[in-house]
Amino acid sequence: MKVHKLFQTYQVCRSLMSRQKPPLHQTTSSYLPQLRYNTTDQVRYTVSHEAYKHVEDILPPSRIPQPPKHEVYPTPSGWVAPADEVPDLPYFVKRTKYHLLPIIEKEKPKGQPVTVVYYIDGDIWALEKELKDLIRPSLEFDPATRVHEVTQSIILKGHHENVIQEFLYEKGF
Amino acid sequence: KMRINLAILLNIVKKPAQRIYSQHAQSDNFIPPNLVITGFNPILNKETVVTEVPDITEDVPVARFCSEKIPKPKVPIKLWMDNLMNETPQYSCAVHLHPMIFDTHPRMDILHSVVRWQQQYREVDYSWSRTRDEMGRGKKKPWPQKGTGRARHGSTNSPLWLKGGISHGPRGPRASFYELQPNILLEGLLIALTIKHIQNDLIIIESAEVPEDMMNLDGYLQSRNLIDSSLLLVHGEEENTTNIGNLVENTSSINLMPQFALNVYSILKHDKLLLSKHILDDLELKVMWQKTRYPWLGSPHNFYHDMP
Repeated sequence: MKVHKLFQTYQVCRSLMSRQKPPLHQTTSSYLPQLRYNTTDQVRYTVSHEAYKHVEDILPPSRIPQPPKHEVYPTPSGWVAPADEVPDLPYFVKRTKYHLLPIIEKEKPKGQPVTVVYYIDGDIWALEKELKDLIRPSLEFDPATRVHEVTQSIILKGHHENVIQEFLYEKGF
Repeated sequence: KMRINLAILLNIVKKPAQRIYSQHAQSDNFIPPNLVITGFNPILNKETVVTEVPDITEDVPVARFCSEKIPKPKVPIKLWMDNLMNETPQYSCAVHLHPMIFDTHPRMDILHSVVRWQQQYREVDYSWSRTRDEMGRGKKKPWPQKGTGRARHGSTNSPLWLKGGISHGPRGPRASFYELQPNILLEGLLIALTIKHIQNDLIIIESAEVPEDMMNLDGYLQSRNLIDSSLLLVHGEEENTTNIGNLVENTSSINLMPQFALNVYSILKHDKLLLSKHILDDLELKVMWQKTRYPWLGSPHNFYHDMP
């Protein structure tokens, strides 16, 4: 077995050594565009600091902007703005920095579907009770939830993003 | 000459000290000479100044408003503004603080991770032990393999042996440096500030600049019951701090710090946190920019028109 491997490597080395190398200029020209500079030509350009404002107009903002006020909600994309007045409830659900509701649909490592609601201020158990009642008709069994008070989040078994989104939009979050 | 003088002095000092000690030891009511006895116990007989802090009504003039937008359910925090020059607190002016900085959810796990990072990232473990190769002896076989009746050994450097090499020991300088995510660092700072505010340990002062003829801060500290507590004074970068620096130089309980050096560990280490009014605007802008920025800002380019 060892001898066989040695023989193989010998053959590979021999083929590499015997290969003819192409000249340098051919290798570069085959896949790279050739740049030709004439040092005698003068580069002509003008400097204008005033015209830079046209560049600044195109540049994007570094911060996420506030959304404009629409006439009708929901917008064609399905987005709804939070209500002007804070809803009179024991809990409050904040928006994310992208002005969306903080709901995630994901799967646990073994493929268990899970929905997470986070950024919950106030009485988290009251919201958990309402979400349970919301999901119960679409399930065969009693809904399984987990409340994490430290991270201010609720984890629900199954994918229920759309139902919870509609529910929270109606409340005014 | 100096040596001779010193020797004489030492002799003079030594001899009577021994004599005095022996005299005291023999007497009935013995008091060691290094014991310091004060007139009163500062902990038991502490003089506290009781003052009633009035509520901040809407008529009170506000020295500083929040510049950044405040999310809906929260309202700006109102605090009385203090001044280092006033001996007695004058409740005349208030300050608004942003709730995203001074009223966050206190996550103790994040705070702990930040404190642990601050303690660990700068430490280097220099402990080092020799392996069996580095002992510098024991190349010889101690006794023959067979015939002696003893256990078989090829070298005296084996880790089984007394004074042998150490296996799996500490090796060389080992840095315990690691990086935390900047978002978590920021969150930890906000939590620390929130805790200071909740525990009533946050004081906002008008400015860190004091007049040159000010001799000490005892009057200020005594009227606010701060004489026993440690203070951290954070000032703006543009403020002139030579006078307050000279005042604070010889005190053990007060520390100065510029705004860019504000960190979680120092905030928790001190009892009270004094923030200058001038740092609040900049702090608010930086924090809120970090909270509302695009996450892909750094790469692949940073050509944005409002980059701070």
